[in-house]
Amino acid sequence: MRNQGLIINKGYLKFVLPTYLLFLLLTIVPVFGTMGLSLFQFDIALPSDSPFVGLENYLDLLEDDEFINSVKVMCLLIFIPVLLQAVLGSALALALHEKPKGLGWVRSLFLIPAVLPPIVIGLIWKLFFIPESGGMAYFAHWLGLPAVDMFSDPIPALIMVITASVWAGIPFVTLMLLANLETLPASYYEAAAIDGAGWWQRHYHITWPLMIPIVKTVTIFRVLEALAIFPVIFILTGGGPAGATEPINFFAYRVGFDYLLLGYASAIIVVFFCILFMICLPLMLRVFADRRN
Amino acid sequence: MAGILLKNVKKRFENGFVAVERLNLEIYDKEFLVLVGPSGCAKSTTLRMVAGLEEITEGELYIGDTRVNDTPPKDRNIAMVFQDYALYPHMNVYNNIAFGLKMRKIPEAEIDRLVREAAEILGIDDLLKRKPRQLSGGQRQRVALGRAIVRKPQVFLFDEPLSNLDAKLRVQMRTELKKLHEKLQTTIIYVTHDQVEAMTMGTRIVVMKEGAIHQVGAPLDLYDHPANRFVAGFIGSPSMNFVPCLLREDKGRVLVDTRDFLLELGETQAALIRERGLGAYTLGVRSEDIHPRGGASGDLPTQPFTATVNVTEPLGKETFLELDSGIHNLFAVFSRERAVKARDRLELELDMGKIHLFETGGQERAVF
Amino acid sequence: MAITKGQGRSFSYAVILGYLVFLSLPIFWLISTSIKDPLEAFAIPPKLLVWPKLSNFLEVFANKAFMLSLLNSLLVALGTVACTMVVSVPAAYGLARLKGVFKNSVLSWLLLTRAAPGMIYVIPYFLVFGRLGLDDTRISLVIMNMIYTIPLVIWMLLTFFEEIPISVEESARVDGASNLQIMTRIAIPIVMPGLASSAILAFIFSWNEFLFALVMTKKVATTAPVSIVNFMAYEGTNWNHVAVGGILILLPVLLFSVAIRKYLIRGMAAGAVKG
Repeated sequence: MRNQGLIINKGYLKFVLPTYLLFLLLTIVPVFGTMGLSLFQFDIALPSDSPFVGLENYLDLLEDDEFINSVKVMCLLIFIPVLLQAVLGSALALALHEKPKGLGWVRSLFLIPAVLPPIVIGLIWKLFFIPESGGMAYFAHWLGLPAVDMFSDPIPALIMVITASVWAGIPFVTLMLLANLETLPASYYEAAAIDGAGWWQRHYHITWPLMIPIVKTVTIFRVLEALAIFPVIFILTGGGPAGATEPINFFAYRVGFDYLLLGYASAIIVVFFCILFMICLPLMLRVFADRRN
Repeated sequence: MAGILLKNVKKRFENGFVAVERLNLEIYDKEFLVLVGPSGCAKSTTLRMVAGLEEITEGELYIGDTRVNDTPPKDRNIAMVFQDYALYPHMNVYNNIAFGLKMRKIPEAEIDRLVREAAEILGIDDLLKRKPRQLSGGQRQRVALGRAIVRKPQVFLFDEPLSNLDAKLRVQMRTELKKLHEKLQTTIIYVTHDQVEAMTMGTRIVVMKEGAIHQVGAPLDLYDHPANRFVAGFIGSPSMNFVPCLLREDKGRVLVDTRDFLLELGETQAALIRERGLGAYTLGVRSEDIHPRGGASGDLPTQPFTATVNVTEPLGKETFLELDSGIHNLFAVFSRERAVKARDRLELELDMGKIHLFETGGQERAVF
Repeated sequence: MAITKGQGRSFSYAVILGYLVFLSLPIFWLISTSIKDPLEAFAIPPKLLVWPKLSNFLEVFANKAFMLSLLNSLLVALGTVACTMVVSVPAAYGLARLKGVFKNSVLSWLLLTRAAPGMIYVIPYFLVFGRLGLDDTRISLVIMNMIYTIPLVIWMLLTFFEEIPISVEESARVDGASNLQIMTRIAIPIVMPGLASSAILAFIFSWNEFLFALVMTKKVATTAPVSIVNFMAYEGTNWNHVAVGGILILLPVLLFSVAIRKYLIRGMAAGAVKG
């Protein structure tokens, strides 16, 4: 039993391999399956009759208006919510960091939107936005403003989805930024205060530069989260009106399970995966850089 | 019998770093051997190789008559006490101590007897139901000791066990460990960076630096006859004074020229120097061997010199002095009775029987 | 840090209060809808504060399909947690004690799969499980959930295991314990709180999961999030019932989250909670 150090290492391999192999089976196989399927025009009623079409599905995508629209919607549903979450989340984190009297308990409320089932979040906002009997209508009437039907026009529909998305995402951003803020040494601020910097100046010159790394990490997390949006759209707008709130993965769902064009849907999702992978790469690299410390 | 032999041991880590090049050491049965040295000297690595927690790249390790290079730690019949005690936080004291015995599948009744026996020896029998987080540093240390002694191993390995204790407790535990050694009559290998611990506790000391052994011997041997400049400077507090000097002949006498003062070597010393060759050396003299004029003992002729007192540090029973002899600064220790103050100009002499001369190159070995 | 004077403080109060309003408005509306009399629900202008009526709740409790779906959600979640923990705990421990290329590639793959869109798994599973007769079963959901819960639990436990001082394990090794014994008798007991919170996070994930359940289930194994959508389809638009259903779905998750709020941030960083 030479090289005991190595055997101890190999011993741990035994702990990991079975699970890892199981996991690969659960994940790699399906992924390749989908990729393979995207090369066919799959007919679910007569699977054996499905013709191999090579890259035709992908070429069709390039000319598919609905697909192009879904890409636009995806971009809107990533940039705007993430930006809003970042800005509002930062503001909230800064505000809480000041520890204003009597409002410390707010932090514990934060959990709520973050842990709710997404379907319930969609539901909550649907109830709120229902024309005429929803919460918005109530407050509109109270304030003397006209009630608006948010569901029948593209831009209001997007606003609804974005609102729900931001509502759900702010807590995570705030909590992570707050945790980081609390690790910043107070001495920096004290020195700056002695040097005569006002409140805004302190935060602009000290806080912001120090927070940039964590803001980057949090942003990437939120982008990944935004890419996965589904139940909220399903229950709130169903992708409507006319695809105005239909991002790529929702489009894939509709193509695959409403029209049962599974080959085409596979192509859509493979393209989406590639986009996602490119976004995910910096995160992975960052995570491994961090672990090296 | 449980002596330990390390033969031509080499340790190379995975990243290529060679911590130990070629180590040879024999540890006698029942002795209290201390491995001491500055950080990075590989004393802990050596200990861990004996324990089996680090793999030996090349060379042989014997415990008793058995070659144990490939034997796992649990079969080497050793016990180890770690620097942070490494107590199992979720178990109470009793179970902490009993764990090793349970692993060996010793019957419950026997385990109970052994645990209580060990607890009694260490005075922790009233703590058996407590968890580690409820114990003080000293108590945790005893539990770690209990865990080690209960298995009645052939060898005890200690990895800086007293470093986490406060000064007073450390002094107390030093004595206790020595007494424990007396009582248990088992080989102990003890690693520390503190030369005071090494001197007070070991029957033999191994001074290490950068993976190599510089000297092995009884404490006072190392103190009086250091083999090189490193050992001379490492052992003893305050540290030995080192003065660069030139050895030259003048009218048949061998003189030590420090540029501040001249010393004349006695016959034996001179002969040794003539053998090695004249030239540049380093003079080493301990603070207690610098005396005011007329105070030196021994029958070698003494040569007086003068120096000014820079700083005095009264410690009660003694006073430390920093002396300025011109170019060099020296540290001396006077007994309290000698009244001195800063800026006094003193006449001093050295105890010539106690000086050392070290080569200036290579290992900086001692001539005497 | 509160060098709070003037501008800073008014900013703080404004922002926090503003957020509290934003946070609570829709929730109040949800609660109010759930306790409204159906007639009041259609009042124009709509009402917010009403006398609570529990009849809505009773009616929903009587809805067999929905209550069954809640049970399904529970069973699937418990099954997911059990299978995930059994499989993930040793793997996390092994990974914590490994170094090098293998470890990094395992961790990368675990991360990547969580980021992949759910649909990429749904299509093949739908086809294969359909062929195997496993569609509309709870088992199929448990298996599919594990795609997400295994990485979640492993990432979280990894940090917990790595925090155990190595000297404690070395001590056990000298004491005679094997790798397996060290894991079961030393490491796992030490990280119990982490184990519990990982399990709860896996539970929350499974409970909240929507896409897989939507595609894979029809009548028998429908879980609550999907069932509530059906509520809205065939129940016409009884929003009161829908509101009650929503509240019932979110309660368990809320309670669990409060229990482990300390570890939630860590879990969130591991990409927990939502799908």
